[in-house]
Amino acid sequence: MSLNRSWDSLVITRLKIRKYGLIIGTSFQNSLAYGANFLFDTFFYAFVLFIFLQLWRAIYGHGGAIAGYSLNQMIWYCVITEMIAFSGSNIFYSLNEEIKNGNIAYALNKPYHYISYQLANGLGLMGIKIIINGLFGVFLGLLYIGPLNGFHVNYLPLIILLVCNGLILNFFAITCLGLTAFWLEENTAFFWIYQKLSFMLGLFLPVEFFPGWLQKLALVLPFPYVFYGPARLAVAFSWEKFWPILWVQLGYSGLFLVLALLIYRKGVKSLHVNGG
Amino acid sequence: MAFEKRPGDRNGEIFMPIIEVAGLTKQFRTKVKETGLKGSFRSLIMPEYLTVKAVENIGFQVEQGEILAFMGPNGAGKSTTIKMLTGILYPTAGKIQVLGLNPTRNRRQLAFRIGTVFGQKSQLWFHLPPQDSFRLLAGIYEIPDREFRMRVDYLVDLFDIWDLMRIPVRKLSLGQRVRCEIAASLLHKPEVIFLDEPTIGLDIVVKQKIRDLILLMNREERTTIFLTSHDVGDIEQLCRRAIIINHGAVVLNESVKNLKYNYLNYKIIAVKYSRPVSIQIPGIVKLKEKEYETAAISGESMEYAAKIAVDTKKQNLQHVVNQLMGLGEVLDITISDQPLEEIITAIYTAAPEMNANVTES
Ligand SMILES: Nc1ncnc2c1ncn2[C@@H]1O[C@H](COP(=O)(O)OP(=O)(O)O)[C@@H](O)[C@H]1O
Ligand SMILES: [Mg+2]
Repeated sequence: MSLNRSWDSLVITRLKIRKYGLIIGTSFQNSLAYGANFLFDTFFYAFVLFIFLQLWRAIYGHGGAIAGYSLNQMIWYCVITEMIAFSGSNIFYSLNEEIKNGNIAYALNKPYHYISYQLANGLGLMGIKIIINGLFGVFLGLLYIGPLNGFHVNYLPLIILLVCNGLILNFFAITCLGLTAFWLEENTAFFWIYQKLSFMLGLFLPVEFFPGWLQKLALVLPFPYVFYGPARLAVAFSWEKFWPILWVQLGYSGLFLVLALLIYRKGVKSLHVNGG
Repeated sequence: MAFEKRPGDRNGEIFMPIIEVAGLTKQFRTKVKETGLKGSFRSLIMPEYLTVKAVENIGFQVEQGEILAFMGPNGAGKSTTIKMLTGILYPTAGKIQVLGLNPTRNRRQLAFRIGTVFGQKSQLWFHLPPQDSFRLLAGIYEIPDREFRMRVDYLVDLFDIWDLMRIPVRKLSLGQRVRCEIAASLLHKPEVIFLDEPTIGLDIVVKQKIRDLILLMNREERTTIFLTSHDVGDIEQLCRRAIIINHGAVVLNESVKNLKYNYLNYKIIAVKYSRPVSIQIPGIVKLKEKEYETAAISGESMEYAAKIAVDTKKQNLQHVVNQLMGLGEVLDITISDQPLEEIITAIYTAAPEMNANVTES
């Protein structure tokens, strides 16, 4: 009897896990159907890196190090940050659109949680992108500047972990921003500010390039943990840096997830009552 | 107020209400959007609201295995009603029970037992073939693999969509897509299916095909079907009962038999002749007629077109058409239903009681 019941609940749990697994898989497949877009993205990725290569070569002149980074490390830093930037999800725009045109309503009579659905969907998309951009990025780095000095392959899984965490942190943060569309007609300004801050505080420049007070400030904000954290550890791994970066990433991800769920709950309530 | 539960007996048939609605009302409070910077600033601090009564105090029941058409012109409140029945929107007032559940409180639970097809929102992934979306839906509805495979085989066969299952949805015609869409909504064996304007935008042949499918799924599994439409043809061919709403209120809730006899009795015939004729058939109403010049192949000539209404209660349609055909060389002839708007007007003229449905608050 009780064995039967626990067997049943096992089957149900399996079906629920399979549900979100299938969403990830379908989104993965759907993204592959946009093959041409990927081609354009990888081309653009190569182009952006090429610009950075020229820029940093000119700045570095005949070698040396700036803020502790050698030219070789700097280029690999850019490879990683741009890899993350090009693999992000478009969740802000898709939420914005679905909420504003009211199509979100049709997701509400399906037996899944909308945010879990969006996350699974985003994971599929980001998954395929990071695989393609990851391989392509390594190829570009080798092509442009050669192997990353001092890199140990043992750290690779940890770097991959941080890169994935960065993507997820970014995903939850912009999910919160996208969900403001429930109330705000003009919410793209927030996204714009968020983007510019994360570009400045990590995508283009490592945090070490800033004056001390700004470094301190930046490191308590979420932005450096999307791009800077993973890239910094990829080019110069240290356990003392790894743990704080990992914890802050997880902390902010959790915070933004909870925030997203709260915003969603309030928004969807107003949709139930007011039709969005 | 509790619903009276009355599995009853009518004409010797057991009937069980599957959907019960009483006093259902939905009002939308929308912010008045003002233009310009000053306007948007003002609406941020002191927003002005407009209350729109989308659905007002409607009540009805749907029995198990019934096909019910919920008819009304654009903006009548059909989609709003479906959204309340499926738990997407919460009613402002009134009671709803669907399959014994309250959609507002048991939305997720209800979701497993109902199917929905919204004409304006596809549940198939645009870039993938339907079979992939089917697999995903099976996952979403937690259908075990073996069951899913049997179900797909059955539906694909029933709806004759074998050849469409592997083609990306973006490459399907609208009609083909709707067929797959309806099959997809049946994967989890819903007890009730809600179709919001399933025939909108389809041409006559495809419309007919979709109607056949709707009848088929009703007959095969005794699925209860709640269908909205503003196409009079849908009522005539699908249902035994229709509810007509306008401005959010029920105008008529009647068997199609009575409806046909009392309101759907007018057919509109548009006919075009190669030369002017004089139509003098007793009992018909000439709505429009027009003579006009045309540059035909053999020089200039006059053509003639007319639109007439036939009361099929009084006139035999076939007889009228035969007479029209005898009057001269017919270039074109079409027979159509009276538009829903006119039928509603006719109903109102019989019982006039309407007021504006928008008030400021
Ligand atoms: N989310 C909403 N906010 C404000 N008004 C709405 C909303 N949805 C529908 N309405 C209004 O409610 C009325 C009924 O709409 P709807 O149910 O979509 O009609 P139908 O489906 O019969 O065409 C219309 O006047 C429409 O403008
Ligand atoms: Mg509608």
